[in-house]
Amino acid sequence: MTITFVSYAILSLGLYFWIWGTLPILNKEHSIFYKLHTLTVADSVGSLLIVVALLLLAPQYWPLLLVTAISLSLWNTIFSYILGNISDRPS
Amino acid sequence: MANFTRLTLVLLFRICCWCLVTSSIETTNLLIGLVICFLIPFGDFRRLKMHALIPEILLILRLPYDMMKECFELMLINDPIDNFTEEKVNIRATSGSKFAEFFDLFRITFTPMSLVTRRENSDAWRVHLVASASEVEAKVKPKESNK
Repeated sequence: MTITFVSYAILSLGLYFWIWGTLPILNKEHSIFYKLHTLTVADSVGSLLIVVALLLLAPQYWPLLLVTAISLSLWNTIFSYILGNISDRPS
Repeated sequence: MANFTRLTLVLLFRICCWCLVTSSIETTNLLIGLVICFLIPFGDFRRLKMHALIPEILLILRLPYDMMKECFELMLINDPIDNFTEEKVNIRATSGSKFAEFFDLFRITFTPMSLVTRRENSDAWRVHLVASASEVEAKVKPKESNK
């Protein structure tokens, strides 16, 4: 019961981070770099929190969820760097 | 002995990957994984710089805390402005280990408040940070009034 409550709390926090991190994309006033920072909140932190919540809800799928968490962390960071590098090139 | 440790670590890494991908730690699966791990070419594992790599991997362990802290810091900034700085490349990353270099970049970029955009020179990363416009103004004004 407690684990279910904790996992849903983490899941909600992850969903909140997803929404908070994704909405600034629509704002034209923000720079591409700020959008990359907020997307890190959404994609890395939000998604990882959701994966942690799922791990608590369904621990039998831990290998699958661990692979997902590692892949998410690596790809999000690498893509942030690539997009940041492309945007920072002198024109 | 050092080369044996390097080889063991490479094998351990490979077998961990195998077990995660196959989602099984049964003996038969481990044996199949071990055979496959030995069949994949090892490359030049002798050049693996353990003294640079292990501390970098250990530093990754504190990333979840930094990640959450910086997440809330970013959320509290209402008037964001771009701020580029130079961050020194970790001394271990400059020792010639490509993996240590990658982990250094990974640690900076993974947290929401900092983003590496490129390598400025051999000693520094060019890092983008988010600053609050009002805080930057507050810092600049006292300096101007002093003049």
